Amino acid sequence: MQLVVFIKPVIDNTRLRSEQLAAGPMPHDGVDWMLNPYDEYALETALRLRESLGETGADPACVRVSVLALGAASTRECLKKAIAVGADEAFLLCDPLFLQADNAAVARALAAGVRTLAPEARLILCGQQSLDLAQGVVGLMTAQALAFASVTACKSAAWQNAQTLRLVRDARAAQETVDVSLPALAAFGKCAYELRTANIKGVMRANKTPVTLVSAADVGLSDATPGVASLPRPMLRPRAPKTPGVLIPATDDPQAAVLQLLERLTREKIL
Amino acid sequence: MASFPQDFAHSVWVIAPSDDPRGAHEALTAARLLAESCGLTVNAMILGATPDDPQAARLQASLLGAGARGVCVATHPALSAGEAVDPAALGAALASLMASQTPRWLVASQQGVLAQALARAAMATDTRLLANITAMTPEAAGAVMLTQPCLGEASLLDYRFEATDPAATVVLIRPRAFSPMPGNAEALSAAMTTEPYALPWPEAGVHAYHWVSSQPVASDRPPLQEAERVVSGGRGLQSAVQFAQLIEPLADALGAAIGASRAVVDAGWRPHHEQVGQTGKTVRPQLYLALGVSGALQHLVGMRDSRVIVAINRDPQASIFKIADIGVVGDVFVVVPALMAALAQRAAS
Repeated sequence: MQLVVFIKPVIDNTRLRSEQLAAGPMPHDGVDWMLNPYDEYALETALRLRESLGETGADPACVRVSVLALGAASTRECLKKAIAVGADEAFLLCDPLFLQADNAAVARALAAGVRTLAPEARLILCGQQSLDLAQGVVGLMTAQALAFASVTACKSAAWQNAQTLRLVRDARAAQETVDVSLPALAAFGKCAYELRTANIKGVMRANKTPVTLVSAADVGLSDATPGVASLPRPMLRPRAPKTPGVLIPATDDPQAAVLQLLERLTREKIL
Repeated sequence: MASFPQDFAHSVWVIAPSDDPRGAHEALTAARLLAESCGLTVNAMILGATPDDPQAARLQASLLGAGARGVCVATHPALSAGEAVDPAALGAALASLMASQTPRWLVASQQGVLAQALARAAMATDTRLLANITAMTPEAAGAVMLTQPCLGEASLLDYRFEATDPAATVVLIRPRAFSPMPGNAEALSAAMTTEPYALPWPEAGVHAYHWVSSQPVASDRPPLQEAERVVSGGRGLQSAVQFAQLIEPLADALGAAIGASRAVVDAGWRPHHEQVGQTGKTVRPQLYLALGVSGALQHLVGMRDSRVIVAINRDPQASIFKIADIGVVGDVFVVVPALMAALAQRAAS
């Protein structure tokens, strides 16, 4: 059995310098890449599902956890973390053809990657959205392209049997439990657990196991899909800086400070 | 049952479930901006379970009152299950409708099963899709700019569409980013005559999704992302008990929802559904009151678009003051009781 985890390398926005946010295309060079935080929950869930598969009578040793990512070659290094924590292999779809890919083009590339690199896979796990664009649609679009069922906003997963997964998900004002028959894609929000830290053995394995670069041609894609309009190329626009607010000191006279606060909130028509 | 209205072709569609009038009206606001920029008309499709759904009838009237040219109610019994609808099945139903009825733009609020279904339907029909849209700006030269926050809200991405661009596009808008426009529902509610349309449902191939159970998240307070006021706490509250003692009464006095920083959630003081920021919720209330929140970037990205941000923190250097409209520099354990007393006095007078 093969479990596929989609991981998007995203820009670590806490380490971006303001000049990298200047007007223009999204920055690619000189940025720090990290694994999308939601995808880390998907990866940890996949590792747990591999370990718990024994309860359904299958042999966990026969389960491969394969990571599939799409990004620039410079994102290769950050994907080693996935191998260090226990993924068996990692593929990076990397091709000039993907540089301008919109969400649907990324979904088509991921679907082609699954068909070529993991044709037997019946379960895909991914994060519910990425940190950078937060669109939350690529997983669903890929599921559609592969004719997989889809469940979003998941927070835990357990095998019902080798063909059915029980997922707990966050609905609008409820926690919902859904059983999904494979083949399926499960998109994860924040879980009650974090991605495990790598041990020494894992780090050594990650050093020996290269992240495999996969070109568009390797997965049978040659050019933009004919007849399909793509999104206009987006341009970055820095946000207008926030006007500084007022500071009310409350150390000496908290009552007076509170009255001043209430007066301002009344003026703002909040109260 | 009526057939699908023919004049919906090549127009801007709003799609909404009958139980989400707020999302429907936010989508209508966005749709009207698109329609004005591109010289098109706006029609709406309401998804309901039964032809006599009273919520659908009310929403139909209010959308007509707020500027939709036509409103069609599309029903299928499978839609009565709410969130338990299989997104693949609804997606297939919408895809066949999109293929036969050729909308130019489809606008929906990005929440629930409808948004998931539209992502699948867009893929199935090779229709472009933009999600997480928070602004639309008509441009002079026959174009419209759709804006999406990016990099954890640090920046914005603009997508410029020519008005003459013939390809269809699905637009999912972020809840609360667009304000509903005032309408005149009463005048129209009597004039409702349109018969519902029976949504064709895929028969085969979508039996994988089985709803098991649903457990409501019990709370007397408004849902975090829908609340007009949010009272939120951070590490500065020192413990789960003190968080509850200080924040809960203040939230109730203000009729506010409770939010929490990631540190507080990870420490187990508060449940995850209250987390604001990266890997939590993005909120945009009228008032965001941050108590003992230092203001890590991961928190700021989830609340920086609130209309008025008030921060109470004893550290004048705290990052939260950089984006607060009103900062109160003082000990939360002193300032909040004083605030409670002042609010009580106000209520009494």
